[in-house]
Amino acid sequence: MTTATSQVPSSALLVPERKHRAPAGLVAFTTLMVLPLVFPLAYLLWNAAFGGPWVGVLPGGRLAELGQNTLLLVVTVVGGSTAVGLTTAWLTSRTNVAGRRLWSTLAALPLVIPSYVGALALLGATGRDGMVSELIAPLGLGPIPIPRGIWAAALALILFTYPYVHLTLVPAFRSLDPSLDEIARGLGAGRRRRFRTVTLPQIAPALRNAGLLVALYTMADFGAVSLLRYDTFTRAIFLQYAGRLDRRPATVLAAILMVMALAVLWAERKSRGKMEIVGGRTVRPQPLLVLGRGAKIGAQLFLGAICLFSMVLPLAILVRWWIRGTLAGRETVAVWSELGRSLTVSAMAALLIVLVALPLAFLTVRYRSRVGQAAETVAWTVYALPHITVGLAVLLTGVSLLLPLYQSLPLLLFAYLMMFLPQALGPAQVALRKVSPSLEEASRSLGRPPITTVFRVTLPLIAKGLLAGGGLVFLTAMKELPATLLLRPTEFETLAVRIWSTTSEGFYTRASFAALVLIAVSAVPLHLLITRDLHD
Amino acid sequence: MTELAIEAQGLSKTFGEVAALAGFDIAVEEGQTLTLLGPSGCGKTTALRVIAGFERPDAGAVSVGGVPVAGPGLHVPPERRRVGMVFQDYALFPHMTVAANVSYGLVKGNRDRKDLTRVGEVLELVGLSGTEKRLPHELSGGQQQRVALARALAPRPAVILLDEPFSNLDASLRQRVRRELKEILQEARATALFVTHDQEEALSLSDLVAVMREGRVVQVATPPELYRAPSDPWVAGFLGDADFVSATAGNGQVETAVGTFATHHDGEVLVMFRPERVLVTPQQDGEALVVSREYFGHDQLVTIVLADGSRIRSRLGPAPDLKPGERVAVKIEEALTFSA
Repeated sequence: MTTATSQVPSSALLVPERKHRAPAGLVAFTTLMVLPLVFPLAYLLWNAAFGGPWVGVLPGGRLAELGQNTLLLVVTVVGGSTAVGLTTAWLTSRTNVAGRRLWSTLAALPLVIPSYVGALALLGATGRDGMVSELIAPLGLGPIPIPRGIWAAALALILFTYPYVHLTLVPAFRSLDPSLDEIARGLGAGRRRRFRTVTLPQIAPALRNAGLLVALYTMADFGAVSLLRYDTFTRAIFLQYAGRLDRRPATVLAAILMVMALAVLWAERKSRGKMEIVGGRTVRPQPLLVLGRGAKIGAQLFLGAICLFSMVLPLAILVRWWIRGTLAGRETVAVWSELGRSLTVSAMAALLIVLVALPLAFLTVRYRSRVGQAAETVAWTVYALPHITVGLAVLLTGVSLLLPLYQSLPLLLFAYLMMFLPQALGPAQVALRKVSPSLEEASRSLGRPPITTVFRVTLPLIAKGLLAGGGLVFLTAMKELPATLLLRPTEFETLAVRIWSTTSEGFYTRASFAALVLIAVSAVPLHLLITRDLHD
Repeated sequence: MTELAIEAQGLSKTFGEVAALAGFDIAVEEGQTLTLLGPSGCGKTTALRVIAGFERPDAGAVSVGGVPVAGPGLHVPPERRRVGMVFQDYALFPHMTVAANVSYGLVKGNRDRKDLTRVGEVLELVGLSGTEKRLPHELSGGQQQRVALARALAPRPAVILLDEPFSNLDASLRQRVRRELKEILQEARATALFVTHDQEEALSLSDLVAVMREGRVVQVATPPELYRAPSDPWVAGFLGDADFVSATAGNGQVETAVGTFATHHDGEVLVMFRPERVLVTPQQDGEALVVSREYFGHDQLVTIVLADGSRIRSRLGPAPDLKPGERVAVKIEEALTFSA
């Protein structure tokens, strides 16, 4: 009896992965789909570079001012939201603070609040009839001045972007390998040294991802900075576009913003380096850190304060404006048609994007294909670009080359496709990777041609992933503001547009009700998302 | 002459730099069970996938049930090959019931009564009647495998291909499942082509074993023939424990420290001893010395050193209790020579 080789599990594990060349039809389809994603951006760049003179496009010093403002805001927000998100993630996943799971979910909730609603809340809290001003009036304190500029914008953005850091770091903290920490301890490293030398390197990739996400988000934010009147690129682009017949200044600014976003992406890619944590296959969770009494109280206070400022107060302010307006007999509920438009256009976007993502997911997961890889890179890169840039690029292309489509729904949907494709692509790929190719092969050898196989075996198995991706697209499209603002057909007001325009005109009552509806509608898909990311 | 269920000739297939198949030939007669046996990475799974139609060969030709399915300018897709496949991971459709899995290959579109009869038939054959409405994940590993087999058998394919069918089962289950599988295949009178890297599995399961090495078949024989008359030292060593002693042959004989054996080779040869064909008995003036022993309970493996310094092993029952340093007499029941 020999058992010399019978322990080897399978030859398939040792043989290099067999991936076939992709079917020509699939490659052609993907190419046809992805090329248009790049075209408007290329057209924008080309236009900025060669579409007219460089000198005198913008008043002297303006560019430097905008650059400085944008950079200052990005640095402040990244620093602030990292500090907040790192703390909430650490407290709720690595310590024994009471109610950890609840706090962890609460900390993620502000994701439902788009930055322009955050700005609305901030505006509604301050000034002469602001809620907080009224609350402190009995104490003899004067009304809080209406916040404007960097601090206002940074505060709004930190409070509504830290959940990205939290959501990215919680899984990273959870998957920490306890044995590394134990070894360091055995080698005599103290708590601080262990955090610096063992924990930090393990969570560094997640931290960097979160930082990148927040940096790109801040750079791209239009809602908060435009309502709180802080001059960054996005606000300037919109003002230039809206205020002037000459589109050149807006074009040049948008091109510069795009290059800046690409530079951030590139820098992150460069800095990523080759370091990978070996091991990391956690077999047991790391024991929680036991907090002392004082620390426990401090933690509860911190988490409570964050929750208060990022969720409770904004919602209370919105509700108060709505109730006050209703009592005063002001019209508040005329948002149903806006809601209808938002739901329709978001559902259409979700459907379209899932349909486009599906073949791309097949191409990238099932086959070895350069076109597939390139398409994936393009999709993710465009995804990282500021929406106002994408919106302006599509607008420019529409006006100059596709005039019949200018200010039409298809053009807006196309912009959504550019901006949100990876949100559907990612979940579709994950779902497809979980479907073993042998299932498809089994179907083939049982007499079913490829198309039948896709419909009867693959699609039923990845339906949940497609639904998740579609839900995410739906949610994001509902909240999208700048591109919608630029590209919507005339009189086509969505909830987001309505909130923004009524807020900027000072009609907080109307804006509040629309904002509450938007939050309520967004909460459903977000709930699914949060439970997936935090509790898996 | 019996029909050939599978015939493959001169198959070659390269993945990038790696040649998985290099001049692979095989012929399986109808009703026969043949196993492709080889070490990991020898190309046996690729051979199976080429026959099933999941890979296109770079060169060579394949016929299934007498119909050419692959060759220069010819590639019949898997769904039109009449080949049933049992995958290593069984590949049961997780969203379908057992009945839906088994009937999947029966018709295109509509399912008529006859097919339901066939579902019942094959499920009974594999001993799983009554599980029709269960979902795959509700079954044990062994049951899942039998469903996979039933599903492959249902459309009455010309041949069933089985890729490492036992690798996902507990070692304790394997022997039983193997026996069951063999009986089912016999009862269905199916032609089967197995792929495995497990020698014991190959020898106990099949009518014929084809040993593969580096992309080609090096020997095809019945299990006893293969074990007792391997075509070269590599096959001999791959199939089971074997010790080799170099010697010089002449006049149809070769002389070694443990005796003289008949051979049809001349000159430098390797003499091979299988440990279970080497008998040792304790003896004061024995010609060999015990060097070490591994004791397993039901048997023991004793390494001895011969007068000329060469070492061979002997597999014995639990007794006698041999200790290193003891002298033993050696009796060779069978030896094989290869020209070196």
